Amino acid sequence: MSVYEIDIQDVNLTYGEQLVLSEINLFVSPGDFVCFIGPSGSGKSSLLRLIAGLSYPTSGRILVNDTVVKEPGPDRGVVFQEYSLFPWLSVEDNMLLALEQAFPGEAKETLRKTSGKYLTAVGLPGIERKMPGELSGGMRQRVAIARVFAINSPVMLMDEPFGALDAVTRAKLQDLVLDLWMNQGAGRKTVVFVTHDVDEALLLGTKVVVLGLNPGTIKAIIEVSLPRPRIRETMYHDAAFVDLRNYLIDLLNEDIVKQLK
Amino acid sequence: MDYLKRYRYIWFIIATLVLTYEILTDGWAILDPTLFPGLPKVAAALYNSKELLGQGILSSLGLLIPSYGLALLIGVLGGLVIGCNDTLRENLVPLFHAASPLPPNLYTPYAIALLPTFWLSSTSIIFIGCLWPILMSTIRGVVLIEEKYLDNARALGLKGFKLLRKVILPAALPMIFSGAGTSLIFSFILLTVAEMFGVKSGLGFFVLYYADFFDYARVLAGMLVMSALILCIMGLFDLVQRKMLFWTTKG
Repeated sequence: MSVYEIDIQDVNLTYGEQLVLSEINLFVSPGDFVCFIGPSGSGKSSLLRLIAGLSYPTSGRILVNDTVVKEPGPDRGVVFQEYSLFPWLSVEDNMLLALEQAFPGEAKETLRKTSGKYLTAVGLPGIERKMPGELSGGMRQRVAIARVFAINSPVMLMDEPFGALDAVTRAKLQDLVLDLWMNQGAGRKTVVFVTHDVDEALLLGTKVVVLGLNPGTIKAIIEVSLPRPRIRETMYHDAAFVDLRNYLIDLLNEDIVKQLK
Repeated sequence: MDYLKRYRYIWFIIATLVLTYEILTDGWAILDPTLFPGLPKVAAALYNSKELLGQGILSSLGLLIPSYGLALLIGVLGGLVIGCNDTLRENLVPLFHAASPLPPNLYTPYAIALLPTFWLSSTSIIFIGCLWPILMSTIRGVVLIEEKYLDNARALGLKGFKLLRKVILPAALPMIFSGAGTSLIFSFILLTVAEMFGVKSGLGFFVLYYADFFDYARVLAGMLVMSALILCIMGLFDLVQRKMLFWTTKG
């Protein structure tokens, strides 16, 4: 099982006249869990879309495992905030559609078993026949997570996957993603996770990349060396955590203050 | 019983209409008896013409089914292709906007002149009328697909025919059904136009034929049968729509 690195080189992105991302340079090591954090409009989601190959940089390039990203590929699985599942397909058909793309030529029965295994792993055994519309938002995101782990892409891109969920559901799903990711041991995936929640970034990430506004630039790259497993109850009182948290909030506040002026 | 209860007001409205009509005609003789024959006369006409009307139903369906079916096939396929291709869409849709409001009966002389049989001319009139709403709504359905579904599909690596079948067609289906429903109703209006020439049976033909002889008992009988047929077909259409769009009603 290979693990991939991501190398972002001198990337600029413009929409019409507007410069969205300016001179982005970032190296993500194999097996890193990188959180992009920044205010709305800092281009954090745009940067994720560039890595996914859903859009293309105006200049510069992005390498995933030494290959220039030109379009989406099976080496990069994506979880969106919403609309991750197609409402006209059952949970299992949603899973199978992705699995067929990732493992072409594999027997349907094998793919069905894989789907069942990962649905069980996210705590949703036996919901294969349900339609996405019958599930809660949290359950839908669980399926989306099961799907991205099932297709086993070496790089996982998550665009505010828990942004639309309530606090309790969000906490449960954060733990779920961490568990699944940690369980992979040395074959751990490279994850890029976009969020606007400082606590979420510090709970999950090995690195936090802070993006600033107008235009979107990288303001800071912070190594998060808090010990794992990170347990919410104790971590929130940990001095190192509190310092990092305050530092990040100060960095983000600079932009908010600038915007208000 | 549940069925009766749910539609109880419909029965009430129908009963009121029937009673009012009967009072205005046979009862107080307020309405002109030639144009508005009493219901017993209409019922008798219905009974006497039952064979002709039965034949008419089959003959009308023989016109409707091929023309509507072909409009559905070409409208949906064409709409998917044109909807997915920006250049095609931008260049063709203005032309469609110019052509679609023209009443299809204007094409009648051309259809008769150009097509080898009268039956083909009749079907082509219904076909053209039905095509526009299906074609336009399919194009609109494709254009209005939530961008995020397409992103998701692209991220999964879906392309070509599989993308069309698994994502674009189902996503556009609610709009396609809306156009197909409009066309279905329109097809009955055009049926009467199409049966003005070329055919010697059919419900539209029946109504027009007896209107020429001022036999309004038969005209009304024909109209009632036509309404009943439309009701059955629309019921069938709703059933298919509910089955195919079942995912839109949940959640």
